Amino acid sequence: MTEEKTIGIGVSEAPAKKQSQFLAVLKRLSRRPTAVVGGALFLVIVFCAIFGDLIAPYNYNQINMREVYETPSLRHLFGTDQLGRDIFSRMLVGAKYTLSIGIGSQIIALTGGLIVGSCAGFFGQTVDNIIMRILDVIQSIPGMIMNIVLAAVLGLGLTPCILAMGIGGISGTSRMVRGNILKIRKSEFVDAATSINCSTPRIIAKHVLPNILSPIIISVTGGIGGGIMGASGLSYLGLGVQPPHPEWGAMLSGGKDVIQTYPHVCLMPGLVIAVTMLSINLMGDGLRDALDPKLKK
Amino acid sequence: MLRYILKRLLLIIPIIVGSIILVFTIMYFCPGDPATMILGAEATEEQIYELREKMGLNDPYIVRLGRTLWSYARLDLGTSYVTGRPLTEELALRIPNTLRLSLIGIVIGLLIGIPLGVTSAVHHDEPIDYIGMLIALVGISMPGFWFAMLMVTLFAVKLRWLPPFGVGGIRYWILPILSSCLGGFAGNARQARSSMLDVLTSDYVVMARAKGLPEKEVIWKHALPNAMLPIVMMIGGAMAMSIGGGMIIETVFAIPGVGFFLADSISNRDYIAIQSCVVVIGMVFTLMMLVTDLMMAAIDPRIKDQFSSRKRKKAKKV
Repeated sequence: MTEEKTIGIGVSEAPAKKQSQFLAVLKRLSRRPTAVVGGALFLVIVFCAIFGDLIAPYNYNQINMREVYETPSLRHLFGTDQLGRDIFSRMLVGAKYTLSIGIGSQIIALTGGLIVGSCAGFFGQTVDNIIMRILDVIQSIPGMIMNIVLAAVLGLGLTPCILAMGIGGISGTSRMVRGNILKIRKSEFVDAATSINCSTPRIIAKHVLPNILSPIIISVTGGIGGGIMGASGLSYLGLGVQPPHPEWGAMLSGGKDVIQTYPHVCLMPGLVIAVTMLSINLMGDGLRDALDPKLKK
Repeated sequence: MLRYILKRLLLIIPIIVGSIILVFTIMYFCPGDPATMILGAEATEEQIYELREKMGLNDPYIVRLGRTLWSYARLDLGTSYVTGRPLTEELALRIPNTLRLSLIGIVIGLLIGIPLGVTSAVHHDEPIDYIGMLIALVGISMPGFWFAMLMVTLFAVKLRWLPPFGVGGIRYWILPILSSCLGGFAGNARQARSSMLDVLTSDYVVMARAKGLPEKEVIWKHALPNAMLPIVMMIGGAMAMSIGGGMIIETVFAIPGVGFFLADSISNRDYIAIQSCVVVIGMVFTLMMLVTDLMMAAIDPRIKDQFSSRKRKKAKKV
């Protein structure tokens, strides 16, 4: 009888509490104008990535040799490139490539990082030591160089680029996850869960991970930006997504040879990348403040 | 302190060996065959087999790994497949350029970034804070090489104040260094601001103010030294960014450094050169990280204490 009652209360209260916490974070987020601007900009870019093909004013691959290197005007918002293709349309269509690199690489990095990091953080001692020494070795090579080498080994194209950025990000994410797990591993609720005979994977998934959600969200937001930035660097070196596809970094580096005569071919993609990064950073800063436990009260 | 430095120096050896093994393993799985590349597409299978045998490419993984480690131990980085020149010489020529670019970039990034962050934190929520943080935000949002390309277009092509690429006198280095310190400076400013804000609300700063110290002394003597630890910790990340981004910037400005050589080797599919470049960059980076670790130990005595001998620890307790 009493047992039933406790379960009943637990079930009815848990979702309500979760919802309110989520709403509270959203509320705090909406109070910061910079975060709202960043979030809105990012939503616009996500919208472009999904519906880019439908709203593009021109066919993104339409070659028009009579309108080569047109400067930005009302007809061609961002001008045209060396084959007379409309840059604005190409950027709209290309948003899905760029965003999928940013988000896809973070999914890989986070999955790998959660597994490796929670093993290191939770089992401690020997396992932790071995994993940390391996991570030390991996991180002795700067991240960008690691991404470049991985991209060179994995080959050209979208999937290798996502893989290279994702695998390169695992070591950093693992370290972040481990550090946060170590912080709360000693807390009473973990001891309580152990005392009622919860299995280790259950403790990690149900009790530990929800408590390190905020640093994970912050790191993923930053990581998406880092992935986009890194991918543009790869494209500049001729790795990653290749020119016929309208990925932003590839378009940017496509214009590098004519930057002195027709700067807009290079300027526009770079500007859009910078604005995307700005929106992600603004959103990340807002999230960092909104999720900060010090400010909760 | 000497003991700590020695221990950290010894700890570096396994990391460097580990990174050589790691890079070798990644390159081992690289598609493409150097022998076919050297001989060209018309070579017969026997010729390719013969060359592979001569280069030792047919040996098992562990034998080749051992051979690579042994030759690196003798400071022999191998011979380029493409140019046929010894890589130790090639890289020795290029390292000074890379070091100059990244080190000066890092130092300038620190010298501008930290004061900007501290000023922003001290004037929290005032116009100067907003302007400073806006600059930093724009700085971390721009791809460094894109910024470099814009600077070249403006200062070298349009205004003709500075040379667009190459190496030479100081004038050649202004644009590359400016573009390579961009990301680091912005990151440092943001980190300095947030850790300074943390410290400024702490009890000892309130105490220092309460006993009537002038504001300047409170900030520079009491707050900043305590805020330095996260900043120095962050320098490692800034250095990684500066070296990685510097690589692309070397390509933009055609500076003959390790990064430009690496980019060249990748487009030539010169695998042994790629491997050597990455190992050398990894070593330089590890040494830089060592310097930041030593700086941390100099700032924070707790870190040094972890490495002091047990005897001394006991003596301290007594």
